Amino acid sequence: MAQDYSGLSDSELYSLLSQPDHREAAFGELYRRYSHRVFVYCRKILGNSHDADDAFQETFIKLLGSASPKRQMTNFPAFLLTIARNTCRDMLAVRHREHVELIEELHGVACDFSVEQNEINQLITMALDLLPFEWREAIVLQLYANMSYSEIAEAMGVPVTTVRNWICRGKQRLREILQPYFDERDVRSAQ
Amino acid sequence: MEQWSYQMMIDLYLDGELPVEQRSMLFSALATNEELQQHFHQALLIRLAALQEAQHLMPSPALTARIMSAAQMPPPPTSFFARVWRSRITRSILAVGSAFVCGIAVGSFLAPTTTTLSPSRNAQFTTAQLSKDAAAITDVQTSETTASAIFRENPRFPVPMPTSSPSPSVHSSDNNPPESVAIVPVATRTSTVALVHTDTPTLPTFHGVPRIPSVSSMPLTIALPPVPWSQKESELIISMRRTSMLAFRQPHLLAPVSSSPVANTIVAVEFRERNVSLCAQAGYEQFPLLTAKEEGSMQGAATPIRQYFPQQQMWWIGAGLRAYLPVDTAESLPLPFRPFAGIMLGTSASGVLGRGEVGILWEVLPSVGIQFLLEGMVHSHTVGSQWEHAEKLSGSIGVAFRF
Repeated sequence: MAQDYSGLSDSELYSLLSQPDHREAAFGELYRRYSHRVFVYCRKILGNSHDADDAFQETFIKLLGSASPKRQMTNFPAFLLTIARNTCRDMLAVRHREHVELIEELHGVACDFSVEQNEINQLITMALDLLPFEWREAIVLQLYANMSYSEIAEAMGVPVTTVRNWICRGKQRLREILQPYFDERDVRSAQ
Repeated sequence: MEQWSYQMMIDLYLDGELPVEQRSMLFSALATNEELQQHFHQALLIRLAALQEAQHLMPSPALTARIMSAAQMPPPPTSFFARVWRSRITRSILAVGSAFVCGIAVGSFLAPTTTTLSPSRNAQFTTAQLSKDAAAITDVQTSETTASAIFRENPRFPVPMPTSSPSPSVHSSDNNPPESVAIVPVATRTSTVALVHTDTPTLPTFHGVPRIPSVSSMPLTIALPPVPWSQKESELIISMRRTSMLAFRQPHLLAPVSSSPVANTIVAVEFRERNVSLCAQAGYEQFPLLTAKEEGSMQGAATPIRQYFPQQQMWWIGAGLRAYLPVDTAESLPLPFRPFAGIMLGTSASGVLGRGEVGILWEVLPSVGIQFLLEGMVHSHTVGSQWEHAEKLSGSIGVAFRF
């Protein structure tokens, strides 16, 4: 009888990764739970879809490689996100992402949306890129990966109050950057 | 309760992080303040746009298939040597063992050699000189400490004395003026001394003790024990130890580090005077931190953007004091252990640190010892505008060379 892995905790699933019989199924369940969060993070931090795909794939490959029966997993989401952060930072440091790539990519990402939605998405992405890295990380994890402040704090290894400050300051800064867009939008709607 | 601005409260409310008791305050302000309403609308617009975009951001099926295929492969087998090398214990034992062997080799090369006098030279120092019975032994000295003090104060190293001859430190002068006969070490820290005449008379230091019988024909050679190293007044200690993390306050930041032999190694140089030593240390060990790096101005930003990168290992230097258990107390221990405790203050590239340590120096050889330490480390550094503190508890084992 096939085992139901969806009822297992993250720690139990992680420990099963080191067992050949359960490795694939346990990995599949962990992938199902966290792939979206990790993918969104890689995509929004790196911008470039090729880099994001590489970082995403490398994150899960590293997760598989880290599996060891000796390792006690206490906070799997934070562990996985730490791998993703380190991978993305490595890529940023090596490739020094260029502005041209980002703009090209922005048009590719938002092709399924309306024109207005495309516009706001691009502007938000560009505005995010102007923020300090830790503010951007925190906002991406909160806005796009839908993580709570405490989860972000654990993942980033900083106090919750720090995360709250980063997010609130970052969003304030975002609004300041996007203010011309909002003003123009108000004018258009008034007409 | 923390006081937040209404704008901050709007962000917290939309994020689901605003406490319930503050929501009514926000709602009442929103009902009357148009600027706040506009602010709320803008924040909501950003949030909805992000949510809609996030829903469409999914890994492609091809990417998912590539990743899942990696899970179907069994974990790569590791070779025996790789497993042995990856073991921290094995690496530590190898490092300490290598250092131990090197220490013995260096110590045997640099240590003073034992000198044996030739028979003719020895005779020159013994019977012929002592045949002048009028001479009284007034003082017995070695270059490092008086022999009498050694005999009295060092029960761990009893001195074999000829039964027919009393202690050379005890003497009596009868009617003759005292002459001095000094015990001169024929080699530093060797086991042979010889009695020689000196021309300078000195006053007797003991009176009323029995007269020494003649030591006319017997060469007086006293076997002094090696001076126990612990009794040295001052010494230079150079040590190297491998450290292994026992606990870290932010374990989720930990990641595997390289298997470099240099990793998790601490080198210390200390100068010990009696029971206290001044110590300088330098270490390279695992201590995860976020380190700042200034990036160039991006996309028209007015100021350079500071980015933070995780760093698993850290260089640090520091200095401080160590206090050793006094020798007479340490002698009661079953083995030649010398417990100590110390405190260090130091700096790294990212911040400042403090270390506390307790340990034992096992004096296995006169010039080589083994250290066992339990160390606590606190590191303070900045992340953005915040001060962060991280703590670590580690155990160390190493080898110490004493000069």
